Amino acid sequence: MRIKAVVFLFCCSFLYSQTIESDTLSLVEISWEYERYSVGHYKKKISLQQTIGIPSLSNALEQSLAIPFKNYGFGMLSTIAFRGLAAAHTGLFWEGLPLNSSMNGNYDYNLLQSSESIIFRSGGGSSVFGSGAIGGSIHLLKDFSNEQGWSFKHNQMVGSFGTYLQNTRLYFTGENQRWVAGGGFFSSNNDYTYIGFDGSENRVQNAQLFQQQFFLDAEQKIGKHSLLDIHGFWLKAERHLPASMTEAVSYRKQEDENQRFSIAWKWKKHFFQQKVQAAYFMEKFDYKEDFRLMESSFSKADNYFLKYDAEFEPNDAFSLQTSHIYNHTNAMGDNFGNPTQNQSFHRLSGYFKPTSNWEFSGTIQHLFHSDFNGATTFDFGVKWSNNSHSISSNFTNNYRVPTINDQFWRPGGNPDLLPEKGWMHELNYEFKQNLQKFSVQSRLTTFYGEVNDWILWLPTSFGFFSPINIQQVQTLGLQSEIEVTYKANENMLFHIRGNYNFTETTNMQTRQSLAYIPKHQANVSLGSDWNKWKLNILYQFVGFRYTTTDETLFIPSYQLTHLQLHHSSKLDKMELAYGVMVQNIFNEAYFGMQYYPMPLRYFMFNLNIIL
Amino acid sequence: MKKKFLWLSAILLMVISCNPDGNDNSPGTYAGGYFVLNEGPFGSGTGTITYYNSTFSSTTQNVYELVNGEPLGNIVQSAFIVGDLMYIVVNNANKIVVVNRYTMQKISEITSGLSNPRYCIVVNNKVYTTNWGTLSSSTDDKVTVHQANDGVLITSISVPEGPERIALMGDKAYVLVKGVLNQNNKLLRINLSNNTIENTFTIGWQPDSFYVRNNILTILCSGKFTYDSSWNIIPQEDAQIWRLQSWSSSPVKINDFSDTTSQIELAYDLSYWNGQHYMRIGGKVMRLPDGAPSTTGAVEFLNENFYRLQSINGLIIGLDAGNFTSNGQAKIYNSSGTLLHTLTTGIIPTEVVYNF
Repeated sequence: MRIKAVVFLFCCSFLYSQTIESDTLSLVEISWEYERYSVGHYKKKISLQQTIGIPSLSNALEQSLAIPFKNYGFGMLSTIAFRGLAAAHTGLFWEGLPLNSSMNGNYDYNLLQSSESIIFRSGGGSSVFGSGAIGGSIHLLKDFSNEQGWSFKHNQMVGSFGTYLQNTRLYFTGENQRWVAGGGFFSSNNDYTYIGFDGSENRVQNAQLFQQQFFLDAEQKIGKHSLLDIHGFWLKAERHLPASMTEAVSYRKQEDENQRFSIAWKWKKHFFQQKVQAAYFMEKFDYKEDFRLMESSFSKADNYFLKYDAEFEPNDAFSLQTSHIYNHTNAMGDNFGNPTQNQSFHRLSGYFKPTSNWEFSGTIQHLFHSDFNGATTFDFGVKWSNNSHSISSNFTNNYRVPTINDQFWRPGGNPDLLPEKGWMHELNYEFKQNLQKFSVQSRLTTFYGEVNDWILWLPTSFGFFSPINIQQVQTLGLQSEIEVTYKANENMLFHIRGNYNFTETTNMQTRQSLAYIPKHQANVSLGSDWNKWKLNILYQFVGFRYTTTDETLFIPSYQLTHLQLHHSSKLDKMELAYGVMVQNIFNEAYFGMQYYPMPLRYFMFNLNIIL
Repeated sequence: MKKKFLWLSAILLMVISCNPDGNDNSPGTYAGGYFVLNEGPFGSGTGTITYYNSTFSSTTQNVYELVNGEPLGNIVQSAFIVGDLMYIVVNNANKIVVVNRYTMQKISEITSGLSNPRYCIVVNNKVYTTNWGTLSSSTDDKVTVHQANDGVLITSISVPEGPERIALMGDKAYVLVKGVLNQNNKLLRINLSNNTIENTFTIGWQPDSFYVRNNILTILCSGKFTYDSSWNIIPQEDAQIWRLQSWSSSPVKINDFSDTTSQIELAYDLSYWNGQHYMRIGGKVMRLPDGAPSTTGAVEFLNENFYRLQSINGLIIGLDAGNFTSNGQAKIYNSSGTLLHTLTTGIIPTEVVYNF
């Protein structure tokens, strides 16, 4: 019934088609192509380079949205736990295609330091983006320069325990083409001090890391109506993995390599645009239990994508988009042989804005998969807004197909697993107001969701883990955010920003919480810009987290305070900025995961040059 | 300091909440009862020790941390009692923690040369410990020999892949070589006077458990298996019981479970009480008279699928690891199969040690 109503509304809007958009393609500012089909989802653009500390995705999301992460130490594996769900339940996307590993479903959010900005989108995204995005999705954005001609950006960081980070980008923007090429590295001796069980100071051992990445984004106009779009990314990371405090020693080492390449042809005329895209993603993973020995566990997946999108957009008030993705995955690993998978997604989305106050979006998608029964998913969103207030709501149903590891890992892999299925509902209230020198923005989100047939790896009495569809998991909570800015005069600005999130995730069989999910997480950021100086103080609170599934053991809560002082100046065309960051000022001894200590107070100095 | 206090108070809070009886820690608190060694959660967690008093009327969780203010370490594997001391082998922490078994006070740690330690015995002021070495290597397995009083490493004896339990009988040590990545079928006799391997016997596949009675070592070999494509266990060879008299030159097979030709039986956790052998077979607790010929089949004693099984003082104790991520259970039966007590353990209970 609801679908019919939406379709009816779409049809009506043809009659109202009035304005005619420019029918030629131009190199315009970045817009996010799924914005319109995400009504009722909370969306936020986050700049990674404004993070205090290493500009990783995990730091950026912890600091700007108080999202919990499971951290195994500084620069080590960091996986997201948005809305109390597992790492594989938040999707990470690049050029509209999934980056979550086809082997383990996760993405390590400490592996990306060179991105400029992202869009965070809360709520289910299976119908728009495919398998996995149940709690939310994250979309890496491109970063072209808006200025004509050449420009250059360099960021250098030096910090405690032998930490170096460097990112360099070269931009060109012309009449018919624009591109950006860049690269950087992140390295650390990572032998930071922690407090042992007996109160003594110890140093982390075997945690040194080195990662480097390069990328290229380019767009070339071809004729009046079309555009060629090329993107490439390469990453290599070598990390030694430290022992937990309850282990004696570790000689573990992990090497990651990622390559991705995408080429697309876009065409636009009148109300219609289409895009044909081909992409190749390679993920390689090499794990050594003892780096001094030859033996290692190797796995690699080649992912091939073909994507066709078409969009009909007669005016600002109405559009339809259809998308068809075909994906072939060919994996190879010491622990799972040589499995292949084929899947395809077929999607139709609509957007409708009948009046200036009301917006609607709807999506329906079907998945075909070589190993599993297909799934049909929906996304419905509605939003009412005026100048100051908006209320929006969204309902999605979602799925996640078992990964290659889930199915084929030796020993333990379970080929009889069912895909996880679930749904997610959210309600958002947003308020913004500008009052002379003050501006206020705030948001309150409540959500409720379920995941059925949750895939969980459990130890077996034979000494290895095996995944089963075990749990029905319910998650509910509240996310809130407020930002107040006071502009005293042209040279002075103050801001206060805060988040508070409440999450309760329950295994419905045992009625107990999932492990490692903090019920309460909050942060407060206080900042001031004064002439060329900028001061920022960030306070983070992460509530206690159970480490067992029967709520008997837990990691205590922790509070961190970070400080950033920054000076920027302009010399001719060159912008020079430098600053100091003090992380964990009050020397809080805390754990990312149980018995994995995180750093005490440490320092980072940074230098930015923009030409 | 403040942080440490917070941390400790959090632990205390946990312990207290599990210990409504509020046992104090005066010397002798742990005399006469039973310790349950809990492996602890996989990954980064710590193993713990649960204590039951002699009548099983009180339970104290996490006794080591309660007394010493520090966790034991990752994967508590086994323990050996000698004199006033208990030697606790902590597998992933590569250490043996030595405690006073009546107070749980830590005395010392042995770490030198240990690599994936599994089981130990203490004899003649020397600690003999089986070590797997690096899991991915099948050539660095060893038995380490330490001085018991100061933990100095005396020597390491190189052994075949997967040395597991170690038995003491007479003036010899016997190592059950079960295998790790590859299944093994060896029994080693170690001469304690010169720390060398005197004999290497080939016995049944995967020597798993033993008991020593009247100078006779009785060993249960679990049998051999492989996995099918869905990682189900496919048994290939029956379990076997072997016996070695301290005065004889080689072990003898006394039962090969060939009573059922249609079914290959894998057996684990042998113990002896009152003329009966107790063990786990096919997800049940089975009983077989000592000395029964192969043609006599084991009979069901309890229809319970335990993670570990032991018999101590005429009690049959089954350890249930539950979902492996939360506290398990110890079920205590008498020898007629009546359930006497069901008690909470820590995470993944693996062994009960009687603190006589």
